[in-house]
Amino acid sequence: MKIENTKAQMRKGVLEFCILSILVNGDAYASDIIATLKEGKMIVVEGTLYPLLTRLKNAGLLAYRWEESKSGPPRKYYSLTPTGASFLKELDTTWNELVKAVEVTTSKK
Amino acid sequence: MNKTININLAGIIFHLDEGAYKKLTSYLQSIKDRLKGDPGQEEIIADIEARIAELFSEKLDKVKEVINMTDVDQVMSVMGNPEDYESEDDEQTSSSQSNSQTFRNYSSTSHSFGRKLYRNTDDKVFGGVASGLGAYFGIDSVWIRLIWVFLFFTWGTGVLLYIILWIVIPEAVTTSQKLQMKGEPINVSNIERSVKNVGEKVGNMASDPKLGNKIGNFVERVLNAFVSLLNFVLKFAFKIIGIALMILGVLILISFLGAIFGHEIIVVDNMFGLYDVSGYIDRMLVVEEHHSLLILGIVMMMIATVVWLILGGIKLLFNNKTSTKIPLIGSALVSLVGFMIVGYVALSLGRDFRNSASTTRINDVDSINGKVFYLTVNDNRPYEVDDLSDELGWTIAEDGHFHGDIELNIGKSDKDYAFVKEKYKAKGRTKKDALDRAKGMKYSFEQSDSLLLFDDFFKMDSSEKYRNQEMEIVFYIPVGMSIYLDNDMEDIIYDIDNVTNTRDDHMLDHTWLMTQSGLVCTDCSSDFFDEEDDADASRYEQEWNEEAEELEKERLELEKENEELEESQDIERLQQEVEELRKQNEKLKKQKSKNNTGTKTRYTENRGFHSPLYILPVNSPSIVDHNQSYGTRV
Repeated sequence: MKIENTKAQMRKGVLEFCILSILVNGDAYASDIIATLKEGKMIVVEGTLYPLLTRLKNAGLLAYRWEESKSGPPRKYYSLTPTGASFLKELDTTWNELVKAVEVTTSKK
Repeated sequence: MNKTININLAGIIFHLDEGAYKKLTSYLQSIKDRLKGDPGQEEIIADIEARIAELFSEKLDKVKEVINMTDVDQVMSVMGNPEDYESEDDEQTSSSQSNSQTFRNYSSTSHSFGRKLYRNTDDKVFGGVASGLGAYFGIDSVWIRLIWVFLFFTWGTGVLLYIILWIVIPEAVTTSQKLQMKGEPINVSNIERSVKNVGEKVGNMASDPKLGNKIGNFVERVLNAFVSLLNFVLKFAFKIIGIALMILGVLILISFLGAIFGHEIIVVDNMFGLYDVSGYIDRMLVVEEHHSLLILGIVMMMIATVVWLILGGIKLLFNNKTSTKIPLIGSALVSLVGFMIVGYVALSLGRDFRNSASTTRINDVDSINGKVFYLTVNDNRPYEVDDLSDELGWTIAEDGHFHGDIELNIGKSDKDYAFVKEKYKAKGRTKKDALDRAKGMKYSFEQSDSLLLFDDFFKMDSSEKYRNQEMEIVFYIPVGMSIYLDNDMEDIIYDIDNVTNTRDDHMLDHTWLMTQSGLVCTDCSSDFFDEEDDADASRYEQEWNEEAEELEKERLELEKENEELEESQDIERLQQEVEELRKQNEKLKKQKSKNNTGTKTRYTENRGFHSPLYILPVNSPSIVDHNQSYGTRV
């Protein structure tokens, strides 16, 4: 049992939840998502995100369209699909439950 | 000044300097390796490339047009190490992800073979070769170092190999190279794991009916696993060959070094007979001042072979893609120079054979009053003959060289006594050299009464080299004198003329008398000449006779059969004839009773019974019929 593994597992579910949460407020470029996640210290390096985005997209939770960029190559503009929205809703509930559960269990002494 | 390379990243052109390009390429490659087998691999790579392009664009402006190492380093630190791309190794919690998870598990084991050999300068004693090898084979570098120490004490092989490896193996500089260097060790448990993974998937497929339609896809993956296993086995075989090539190369190198430094290092006893041969070349052919030059030339000639063997071995062994052009071409050039040196020595050697000369000495033989001269070889050799000198006909001994190129002949003396004429022949750079050399050759024969002992060698000074020295000896005897050739003389007699044209080997062990017309054998039996041919002939004759007898027997049998058939067919005719004869007989009886003479009657009787058998014409139709019936019966 490695602490790194446990940490990574905790982070992974939350990371998906965070990405979906960012997109519920409006469509976003990958770099925008990265910027927000970095701000919240959810990720350290960008490399982690790309496989995850592709996987979420392949699972039907995300959709994207190409947008031209002035300063570089065309960018992927991600948006939440209806499936993604309901997925997020469930995650939201679970998250709240988890927070409560953790609160209850950790405060009981 | 730096070279720049243009690349196209997500549709945008960037100028990268060479180092940056190499770094970026290997970075992208290691990410690709990480994601191998992931269904979204291409898309993810495209996204990453697009992002890198974006980051690059931010770094460039009107003044700065080229991406350099620092930029790439910064981008890599933003994007993260290749291992960050593999999402965290979680358990298969959600069903939607289990499929892709299996893929990644599978891929993470199958890509482990793509590892490269580098020198690990982070953990080095000299050049980091040992720790690099250790990382490559997945063992502690201490063991590799122990092997080096061991090899160091075995003729210093280790030092040589270490230096070669140090030169050939590149240093692990970048992070991705260090990662490639360490990778997963190739060992049995890993293969086991990859096979086990496949097995697990088989189980999953069987228990999950939803995945039934993906069986085809799955079979493909199983096949892939087998291919990679086969690949591994092949690579292993290549590595063995590689090791063998390297060892061979090093051995050849060492043995040649041994040849230069006076045979002190002998790897294998008489390896390829090299030790002996170089000694013989040294002492037989080449003059002192050319000796080292020749050995140097030969070693230089061999260098290309050695270097190519070792480099080829390393390439096979470590799958190293480093360019080896320079050592390959360099060693080829060295070998070319070596070839020219050897050519020069050979040419100068050739000049020593340009002129030939000969000198003659005559030795009288004491008279023996009509006895027969007994000619034999003096087996009192002053030297020992080993295998090699026996083959070359040239022996090097402490006090001189001995050579056996002797031709002995018997001639008719024009005087009334016997004498031996020795003709010494040799070659040299000038006529005088050749003559001096010929005069320096020593030969002797002994006489004790009628016994003549000939040496089967002639002797030369130790400083003498092989310059085609040879000897012709003629033993002249007057008419009326006889000689006996002992069996030992076989090696030195050559084409002795005689009246009966008997071959040399048939002349041995016989007594020969000199006549006006030449040598005549006095104790050979009449059927002696060409005994062998006679023997052959008589053997053939016997065979032919046996064959003829058999044929004759067969012929008789056939004839008998013919007769029987003839008889049975002609039985009617015979009966008729018998009838006729009986009538005739009766007639004759009547006559007999008239004449009273019995003998005549008996004669006719006999003739009558035998005639049908003997008078039958050979080509009568009846015979043809018999032959046919005979044929079908067989």
